[in-house]
Amino acid sequence: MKKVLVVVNQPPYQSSHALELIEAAMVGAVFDFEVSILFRGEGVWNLLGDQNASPLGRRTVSKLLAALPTYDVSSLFVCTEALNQAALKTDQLVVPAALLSPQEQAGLIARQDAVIGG
Amino acid sequence: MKFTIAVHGAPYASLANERALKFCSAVLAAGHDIVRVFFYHEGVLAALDSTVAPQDEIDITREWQKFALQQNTELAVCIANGLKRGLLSTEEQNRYDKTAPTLAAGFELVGLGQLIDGIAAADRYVEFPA
Amino acid sequence: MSLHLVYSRRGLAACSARAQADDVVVLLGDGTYAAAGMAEFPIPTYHILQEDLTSRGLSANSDLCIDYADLVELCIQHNPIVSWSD
Repeated sequence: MKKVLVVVNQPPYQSSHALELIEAAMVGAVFDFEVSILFRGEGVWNLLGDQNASPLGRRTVSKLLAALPTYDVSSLFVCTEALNQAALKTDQLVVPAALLSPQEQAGLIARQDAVIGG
Repeated sequence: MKFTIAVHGAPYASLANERALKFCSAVLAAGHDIVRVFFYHEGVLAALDSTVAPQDEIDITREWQKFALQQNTELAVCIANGLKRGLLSTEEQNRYDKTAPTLAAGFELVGLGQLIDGIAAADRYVEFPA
Repeated sequence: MSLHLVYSRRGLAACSARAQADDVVVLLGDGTYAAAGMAEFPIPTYHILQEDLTSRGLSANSDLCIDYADLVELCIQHNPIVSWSD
């Protein structure tokens, strides 16, 4: 079983980039990969709860993320620095994500067979 | 070694396609194999048949077609990313009742599972971002 | 050991904070604009894709410059391969 890390570093809605990466993570989990997702940079905004993208005519990313445990995407990580820069608290996140410093992210990356996104 | 290559950037918005094609040629020249090239995000636009490149610039769609033909390489376009950006095979054109197919010959629309399958089958996964 | 493909100066900053000591970095595309300032980053081993560098009117020590065949060889020697395009 391969280990794949999906790295999301863009916020939702301005482009479909983050949404499409989360979809890739879900399919990876369906195929029995050991899938992790790391949210870093502006990508942390995807995790904010209470999103409603219907006025934008887009799917609501936070609702998709809330479904991740059902897809067996077991490991969600968020960059500590990015969370601080966004002034977000962990209790504002739509799903629990483990906090990782950039140096800890280096270890996470080193353990992967493949990295999607960046 | 086996490589799966992903292209994430659109032609003209990025050089992802040109770069990926050069990389693919170098992979084969070194005696390695390519499982498939997977087009994702805006990268799917490389498969648009209706593009006309400026005369003094590379026609990346035609270059991919030539490469695929010569090397028997699979050019796999994510169907979900492709449909919403206008990539239609004849089958999809009929299904959605559109006026014309737009997918260039040599490319095929496939499910996202083919990306995952490609990673599973390869020793290396290399992505070319926008 | 990971191979980091860096496509921008911001990508380089993000990468350098997340690279391990024995990882290798390659500057490609607009990442080549960062070639002159690499001393600021704690990255021991890096290469520059020659054609992306020279096509932008830049130059660097030729020992650092690689072509696509070298890039493939680096991909053989390292895994995973991570792209940084912030």
